[in-house]
Amino acid sequence: MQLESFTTFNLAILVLALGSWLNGRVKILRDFNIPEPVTSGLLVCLATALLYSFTGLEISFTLATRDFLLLYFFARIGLNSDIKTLRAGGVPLLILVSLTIAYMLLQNLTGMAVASALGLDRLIGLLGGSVSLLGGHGTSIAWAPTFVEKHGISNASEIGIACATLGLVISSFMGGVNRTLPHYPTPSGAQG
Amino acid sequence: LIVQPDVGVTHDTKTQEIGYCGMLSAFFWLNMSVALGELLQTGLQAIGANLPLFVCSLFAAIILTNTVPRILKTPWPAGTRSLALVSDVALRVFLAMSLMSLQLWTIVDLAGADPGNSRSADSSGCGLCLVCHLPLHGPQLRGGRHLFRIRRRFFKRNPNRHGKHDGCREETRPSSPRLYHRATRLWFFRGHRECDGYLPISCLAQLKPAPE
Repeated sequence: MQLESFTTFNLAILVLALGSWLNGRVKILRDFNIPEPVTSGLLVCLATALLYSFTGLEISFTLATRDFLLLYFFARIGLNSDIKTLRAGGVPLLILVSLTIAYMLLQNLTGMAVASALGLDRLIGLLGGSVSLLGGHGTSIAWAPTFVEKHGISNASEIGIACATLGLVISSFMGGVNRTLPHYPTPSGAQG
Repeated sequence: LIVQPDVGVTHDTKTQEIGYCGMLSAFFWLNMSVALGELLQTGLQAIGANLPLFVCSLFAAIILTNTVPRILKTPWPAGTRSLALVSDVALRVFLAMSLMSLQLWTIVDLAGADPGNSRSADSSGCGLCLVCHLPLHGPQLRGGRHLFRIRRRFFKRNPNRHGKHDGCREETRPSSPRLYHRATRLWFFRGHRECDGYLPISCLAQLKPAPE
C-alpha cells in the first residue's frame, strides 16, 4: 500500500503529536533526551513491520515533502552562518572546530577499519562513523541517497538510521550516567 | 504567547514576535537558498563535482547570508524566531517521516536470505564501532559510585596546599591539578567557579559514600 505525499505529511504530524505525548508521559524518554520524532517514528516503523509480518501488507510512503523539508533545514543552517558571528567565536571556536574535525577523522577511520575487518565495503564504515554518529538521523537520511545511487549500498538509509539510533541510545546512556552523580555543592555554601 | 524555539536562535537574541512578515521573509530567503543551491549544483556538476542538493543549498545560504544583508539594508531572517520555527518544524517532520517510513523487514529479509552478505553484518559492524569507543568511557559506564571512589581516594592522598580539605573555596584546589585531572579523567571537571572546578574532600564527605 503506497501512501501519497499529502497523506504521509499529515500522518507525520500525527506521529509527531504521538511522540510529544509519549515524551510528556514517559520519564525515561525525557531523562535520556530522546527526540519526539525518534520516539514515535520508530514505534510506527515497528508497527508497520509487525503488520507486514502478520498480514503481509507492505506500507510505503511517498517522501517528496520530506526531501523538500530537508532542504529547508540545511538552508536554515546556512542562513545562520554569518562569518561575523563565527569570527566572534575566536580561538575557542577554532580549537573546538579543530578538535571536532580531528575526532571526526578518527571516527571515520575506526568505522572504516571495522568495516574492512568484517569484509564489508569501507563506505559502510563512514555510514557507521561520522555520518550517523556525528550527524545523527537527519544527516544519515540526507546522505543515504548518495550512498545508494553512487556507491550501490542499497539499504544505506536503514544502516545510517540504525547506527544513529544506537549512537543516540549509547550517548544518552553515557550522559545519563552523569545524572546519577552527586551534585556539586552550591556556590552559596548551602551544602558546603 | 509562543514559546521561543531553541533551534537556530542565539542566546542574546531579543524576544521577537512571530508575524506574517517575518514568516514570509524566512520562507522567501529559504526558497532563494534552495534555488541558488540548484544553480550551484548544476554548475558543480559541469565541472565534475557531484554534491547532494542539500549541501549546495547550505552553501548557497551561506553565500546569501554573507552578501545580501551587506549590500541591501533589508531585514534578514537569520537568528529570528520565524526562521527557527520553520527550521524546527522542518526537522521534526522530516525525522518523523523518515523514521516511520523505515521498512525493517527489508533488513530482516536480506539478513535471512544470506547471512554472510554485507547487509547482515552491517548491524554487527556498526555495533562493533560503538563498542570500540566504550573503553574510553569506562569510569562513566561503571557508574557514579566508581567515580566517587576515585576522587575520594585522590583527595585523601592529596590534600590541598594548606593541608586542608574543608570548605568549597578557591584555595581548596588539589595540590596537583594535573594528577587530579588524570585521576578523574577530566570528566568531572565542570568549571565550578567557586571551587575552580575541583571538588574538595569536605564537599565529597557530604555526599553519600559508596560502599567499599
